Amino acid sequence: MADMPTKPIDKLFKPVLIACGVLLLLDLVIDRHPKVPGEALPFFYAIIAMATFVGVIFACRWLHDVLQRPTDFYGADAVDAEEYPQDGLDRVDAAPASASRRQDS
Amino acid sequence: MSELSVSTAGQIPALQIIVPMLAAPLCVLVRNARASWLIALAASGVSTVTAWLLVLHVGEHEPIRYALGGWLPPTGIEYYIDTLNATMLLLVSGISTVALVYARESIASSISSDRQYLFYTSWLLCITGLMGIAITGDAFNVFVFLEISSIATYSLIAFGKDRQALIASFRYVVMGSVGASFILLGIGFLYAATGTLNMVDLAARIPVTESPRAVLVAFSFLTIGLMIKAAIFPLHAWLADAYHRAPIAATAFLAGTATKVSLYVLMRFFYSMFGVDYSFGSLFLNWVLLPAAVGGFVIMSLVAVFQTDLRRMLAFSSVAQIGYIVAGIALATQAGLTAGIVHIVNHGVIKAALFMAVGCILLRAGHVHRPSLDSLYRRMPFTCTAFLLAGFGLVGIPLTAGFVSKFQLIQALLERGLWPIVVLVLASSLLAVVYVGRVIEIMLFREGRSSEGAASGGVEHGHSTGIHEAPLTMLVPMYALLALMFWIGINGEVTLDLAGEAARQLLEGMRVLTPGGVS
Amino acid sequence: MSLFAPPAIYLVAALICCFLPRRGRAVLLLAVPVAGLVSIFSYAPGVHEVVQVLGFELSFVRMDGMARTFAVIFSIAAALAALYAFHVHDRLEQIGTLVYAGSAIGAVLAGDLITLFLWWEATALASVFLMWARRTTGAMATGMRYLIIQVLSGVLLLTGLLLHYYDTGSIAFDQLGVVSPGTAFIFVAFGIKCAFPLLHNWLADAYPAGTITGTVVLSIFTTKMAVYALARGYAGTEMLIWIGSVMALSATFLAVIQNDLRRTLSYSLIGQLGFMVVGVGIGSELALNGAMAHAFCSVLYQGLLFMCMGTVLYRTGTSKASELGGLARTMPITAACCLVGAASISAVPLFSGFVSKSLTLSAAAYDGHYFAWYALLIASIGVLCHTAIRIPYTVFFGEDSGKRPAEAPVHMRAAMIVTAALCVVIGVYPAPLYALLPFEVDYSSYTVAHLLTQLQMLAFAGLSYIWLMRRGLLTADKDVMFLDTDIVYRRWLPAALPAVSSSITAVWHAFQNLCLGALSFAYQRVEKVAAPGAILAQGWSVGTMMFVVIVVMAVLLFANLL
Repeated sequence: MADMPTKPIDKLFKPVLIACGVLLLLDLVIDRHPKVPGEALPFFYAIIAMATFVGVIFACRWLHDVLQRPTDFYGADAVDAEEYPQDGLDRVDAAPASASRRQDS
Repeated sequence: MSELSVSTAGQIPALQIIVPMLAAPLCVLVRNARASWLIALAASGVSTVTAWLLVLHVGEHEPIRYALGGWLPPTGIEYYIDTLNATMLLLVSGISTVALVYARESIASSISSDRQYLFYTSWLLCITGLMGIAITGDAFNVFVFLEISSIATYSLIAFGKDRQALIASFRYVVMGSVGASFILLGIGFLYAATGTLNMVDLAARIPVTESPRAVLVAFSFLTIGLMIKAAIFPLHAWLADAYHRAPIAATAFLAGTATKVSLYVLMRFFYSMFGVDYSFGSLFLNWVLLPAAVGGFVIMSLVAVFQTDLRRMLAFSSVAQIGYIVAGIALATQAGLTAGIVHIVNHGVIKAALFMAVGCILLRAGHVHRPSLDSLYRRMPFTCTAFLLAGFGLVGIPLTAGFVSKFQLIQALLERGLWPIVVLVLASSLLAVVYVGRVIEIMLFREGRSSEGAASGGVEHGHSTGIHEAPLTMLVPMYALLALMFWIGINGEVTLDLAGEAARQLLEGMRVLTPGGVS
Repeated sequence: MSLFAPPAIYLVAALICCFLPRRGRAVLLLAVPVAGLVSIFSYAPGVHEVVQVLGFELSFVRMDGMARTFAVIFSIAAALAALYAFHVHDRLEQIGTLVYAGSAIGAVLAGDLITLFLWWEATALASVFLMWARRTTGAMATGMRYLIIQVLSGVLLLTGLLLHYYDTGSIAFDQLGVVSPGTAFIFVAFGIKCAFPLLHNWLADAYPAGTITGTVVLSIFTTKMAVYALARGYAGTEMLIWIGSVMALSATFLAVIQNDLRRTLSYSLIGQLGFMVVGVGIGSELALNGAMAHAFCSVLYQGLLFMCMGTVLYRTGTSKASELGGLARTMPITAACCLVGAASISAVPLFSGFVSKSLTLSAAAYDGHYFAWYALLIASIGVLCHTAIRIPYTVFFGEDSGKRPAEAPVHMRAAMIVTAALCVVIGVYPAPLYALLPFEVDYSSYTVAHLLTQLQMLAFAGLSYIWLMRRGLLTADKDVMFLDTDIVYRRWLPAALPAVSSSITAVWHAFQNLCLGALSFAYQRVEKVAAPGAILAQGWSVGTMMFVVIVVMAVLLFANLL
């Protein structure tokens, strides 16, 4: 995915970075009334948020490999392997005009 | 005289005995099968009514003490009637009446009509004797009535169709006489030790007698004698042959009453006369009766399982059921005695109904050889249904009378902490399921095979193509007993209360009051 | 129970539903929760109706604060789900929905354990139809597994209730505490429906197997009913703090890896339950309020997210992350609603999660349960990983799947918009919610400190996501499934069964043969003496009889004269 630098998420990168910077500055000025041990550390929430997020994602990379099974693991007629029944669906595609218009923009 | 005997109603205790006693010679005089049957039925019916009146009376009043002929004890003979006697009187006369209704058709087919009047005469003497035992308050009088009933019973059995009946009757004569002699000896020793034959006086004097050895010997003789008469295991051996060979109507009647009256005497002597403390306290009667009872219901149920002749099966089952009754009596507690008394009544009703059903089969099929009764249900649906329902009662299925008494017995046993015996009671009930179930299985579900079975059974009447339902006069009394059985089963408290009251009076001992002196 | 008691309304409506045509049913489904809501508010607060049934004091309606909070949110959610399911014409599913909703409301209004048990089982039986309505082999099998586990919970509840009754003679459904075998059984029964760790698997197994609309309904009731039951019976049980923490943490990881987004939401639901269970475990007024408020809000935003994923499934035929992407182009309203749901679950200020989640966290902090506080903090960051950022991004933005589905039908759109609006309204103006809670609320979420910390977490989590994505460190979604504890009874036990059963059979046969051998031996022995003509059954000769008499006489005389 890194080789597709024009993804919409990249547009968000800078604003988020700036917001983070501002919030870090505010953290120095505003009293957070810490109640829990460790909470008083400067930038506590910023650090824990990043650490947790990255930690969870990395843990799940491993978990992903360990627990992964084909969808017909419990048999070809298990619920994971089957399609949702057609009569419960209404698969309508958007009008081509509006779709193409959106793609153009 | 007590106020009771002044009125006509006060003479009921005497009527109870006199009516069948006078009806017996009347039968001989008319010498007619039909008429003698009617006389017997009428006399028995009157006795039932008077017994019913007595039950109602003692339910509300003190025990009745009736001096026969106005002769006061100790000179005269006294009738002593409390709840227990009254119940026994009602049981004997009631079953006799129902069985008589049933008997006509059954007897007509097995006894030549010129001898039938003798059968009904014996029957009347038999109930006279049985009711006399139950009503009298005089120990020697008990023996006299016992002899009357025994001799009548011997002849009833001898009326059986085949020659085996004579052998069975003879064996019973010997055993019955031995038992009666033991009882006579026992009463004699008691008289020697106390100088009285009146039960109330005996009850008062036995504890203070100067010759306890004599009382002890009397006690032992009475125990043996009554065990023989009541067919308590292992002194039961006369019963199977007797029940098997006797005319089936007589069997239905005797199975419901004869041994039960002996059990009544057992209770009367050991509870009222000797007293609970003496019988079960210093002499450990329970150590004799309880093993006999347990051995009876376990071993005899096992034997019943293997019998192929339904009459024999039911006879052994009777010994087993007597075991339950004796177990209740031997506990010497209110609950145990109640169980015993209730089971006397319930088993009387159930077993009479069962023998009646067997009699119906015997009448139509000519045999009651179990393996040859296949698919009988299709030919005799009402009889087979009756057998099934009465069988439920015997097993002790809820809503039947059998359940009431068996449940009461189990409670009484648990109250004394005798749970191993409870286990054995339940196990023997299971055996009852087996022996009743085998018959029902064959009657309801087994197909074919009947001809070979009948042949191998050595039955003269052979194949059963002509079999059809029994006559109404036999079905109606049978179903009347079944209705009574279900009524008791559903209204269990009524009989339990009655029996409980009787048990209470037994445990209290006889009232030591001078008759006529009641004011 | 009066005919106007809320559960009765639902049951009567379910009966009527059997005869109505399709449109009529849809309208009825929508009208019944409204009637139920009116009925709930017609009871004075604190009413406790008691009826004598078979010598037990049963209480079908106990309308105190806690019960009312749940009854109200159940009614609102039922109405929204009915609107969302307006197109459904499967009678079975509609009746199931009505009975299910009615039973769940009945359960939270139950004032005694017997009534609770009845409704408890009714929810199990009714809800399974929301899966079976899919009518595929897989859904049937899953539904059966679900039903077995749910009924097992009911059986445990019944066992516990009987034990408890014999212990105490009371069937009242009040504070119980794990103090006896009976209450322990009840605790486990509640724990199953509340998806405690290792007992949780039925939820992730079953919810994605429901119908599009059925899963929305499923997400509302069973688990919240269990939370209510725990709050009623086991408030302040310290074990629950640990259980809740583990729930919140473990669900995070399992939610992240899933490919089926409805399953992700199911795990995410377990994580949210963890918050409530911790709140119940702390047991202070603030914590219980937190649990209630969180249940209230989570029903709405979790339902909203299930609705959005349902809509996507409805239009595209799949809810798998690996097959979706870029749908915002043609489904802008669904995408917007999904974003509102995401914002609510991640506690963005002005959205409902912001005003409810912090109650529990603060309660944990006040009472010194620091482990739980950290666990919940980590779990609420984890929510961003698996639900709040991942789902909207993967489905509606991110890599284009090429799918161009039409926008949701009008009624679905309406249901999503109303739900989203409620999330925002509660977030902006929480006073009515706080007023509904059982205890008085002296708490404000909108403090500078809370705003700052929350925004910091959100911003840095977002930053992490963008960074991880740019570095290509996120795992690509593939069309696979992931193991959970259900492998025990779906794979291992069936695999072990032949061996186990054959050895049991062998032992049983040996035992049988032994018994039969002993029996036939005994039978033969008895037959030898008891058969017709054998010693015990023949007519004894007079001599034999006399001999027995003499023996007995001797024994008796010996015994008596001794």
